[in-house]
Amino acid sequence: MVSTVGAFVFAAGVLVVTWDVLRPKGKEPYAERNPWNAGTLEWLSENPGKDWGVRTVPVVTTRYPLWQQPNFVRDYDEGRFYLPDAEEGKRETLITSVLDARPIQCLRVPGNTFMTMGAAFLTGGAFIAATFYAWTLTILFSIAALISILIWLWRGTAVIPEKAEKDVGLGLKLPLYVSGPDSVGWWAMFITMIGDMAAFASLLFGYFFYWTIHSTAFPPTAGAGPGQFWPAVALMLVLASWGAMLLARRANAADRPGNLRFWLMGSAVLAVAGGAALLWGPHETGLDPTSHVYPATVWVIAIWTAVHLGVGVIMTLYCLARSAASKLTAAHDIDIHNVVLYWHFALVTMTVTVAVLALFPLAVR
Amino acid sequence: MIASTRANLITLITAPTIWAFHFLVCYIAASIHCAKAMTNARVFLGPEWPDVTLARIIIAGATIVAMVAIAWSSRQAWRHWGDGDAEPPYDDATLDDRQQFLGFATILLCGLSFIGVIFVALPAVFIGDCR
Repeated sequence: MVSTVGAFVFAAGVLVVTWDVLRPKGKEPYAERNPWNAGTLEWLSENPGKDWGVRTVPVVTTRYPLWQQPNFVRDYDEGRFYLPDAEEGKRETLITSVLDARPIQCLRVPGNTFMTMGAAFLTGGAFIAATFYAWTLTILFSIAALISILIWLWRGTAVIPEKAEKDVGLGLKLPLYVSGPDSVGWWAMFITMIGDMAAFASLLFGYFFYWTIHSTAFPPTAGAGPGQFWPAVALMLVLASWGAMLLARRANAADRPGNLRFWLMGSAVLAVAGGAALLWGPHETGLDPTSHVYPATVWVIAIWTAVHLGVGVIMTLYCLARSAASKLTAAHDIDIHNVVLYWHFALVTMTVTVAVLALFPLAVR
Repeated sequence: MIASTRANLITLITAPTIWAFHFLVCYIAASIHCAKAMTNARVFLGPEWPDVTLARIIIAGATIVAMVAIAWSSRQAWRHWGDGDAEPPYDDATLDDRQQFLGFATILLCGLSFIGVIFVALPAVFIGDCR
């Protein structure tokens, strides 16, 4: 009986809330700002809402700034903090350090554009076509997506600003262009590659999974591919390619575009040769991917790594083109920093690939 | 970065990272050991279950290493926590508050990670074969 009464009381409460949500409110005035006199930033918003999200980026030094920082709301409304205005009519935000939220960069973010939509549509098309085994269409969509992404990168990223730094308010001048580990692009590459390494690790898991469930056939007896010679050649070539990228970055920092372009071209040639050598190993030793799970797994891992080298070559050639167009210079070098970061991960992928495909069979045979 | 008189993001996450790697080592050691011991046996038919002594020794070693490393991180965090004149809950905008807040948060994470490492290792104490 008590629980029945409780259920009715509970249902009545739900009805009150439902009525409060649904009842007509056309003549009701807007609620006043911060009606509960709360202390935190979400209560700064006004009713009706403004055309902007945040009037100005405030400096918060206390846990409850609306209570603890004098004149906080007035200073906020009057734009007395960071970035109260967009003098150049660009969309801007602040990049800060992780723990202390110390401003380190004024970042220009992209405006409205169809370039991203085009890249998304074409990339999605490639996946949808692949779902229906329409391989020709998949390849066409992939090429179109690559071109679309390159156009987007060329026109929409690493834009050289009209001045080196700008006054963001409160007497603080911040750089508009930042490269290397201080830049958001570098971290975007880092996080993307962590995800990429997780996908790679899942392929390696496949290899070791088959090793655990087969007593003898995985890896098969001595003589089965991909052998040690071609993987070793591939690793040496990719190591040299990675070294050439480091020299390219150094040449760019020393403002020597001729040397930069030489090392970029050298890196691209070495990487293509390294990828070819990596694929030549299983091909030359006659691994047939349809015959058994071992050759299939070896091919999957080798192709994965070779494709990553190919993407790296595209990035390297992109840097070459950027340098030729004077968009990659000693002062504006975010492209080369991000591409070298990619090559660090590519070298790790390559080293692990060779260690697994060429050395692991020797260790367990 | 890991050994630092000033608390930072890396000192904060050292202990949980050790916990994660300890879990990885234990998981890989036990799963590979038992999978290889029972290769090609989808259904176990032998007279007795394969033993896991080698995996248990690896797990014991990894656990000792992890606990020592977390203890070291706790000692450093304890020093960070005591390094200043700030008062709990350490929410003022001063360097002392920052240092002591991060030190205290690190100690709590060290405690959690220490218990986590013990719980990850416990199955190797109770389970003596690949059952």
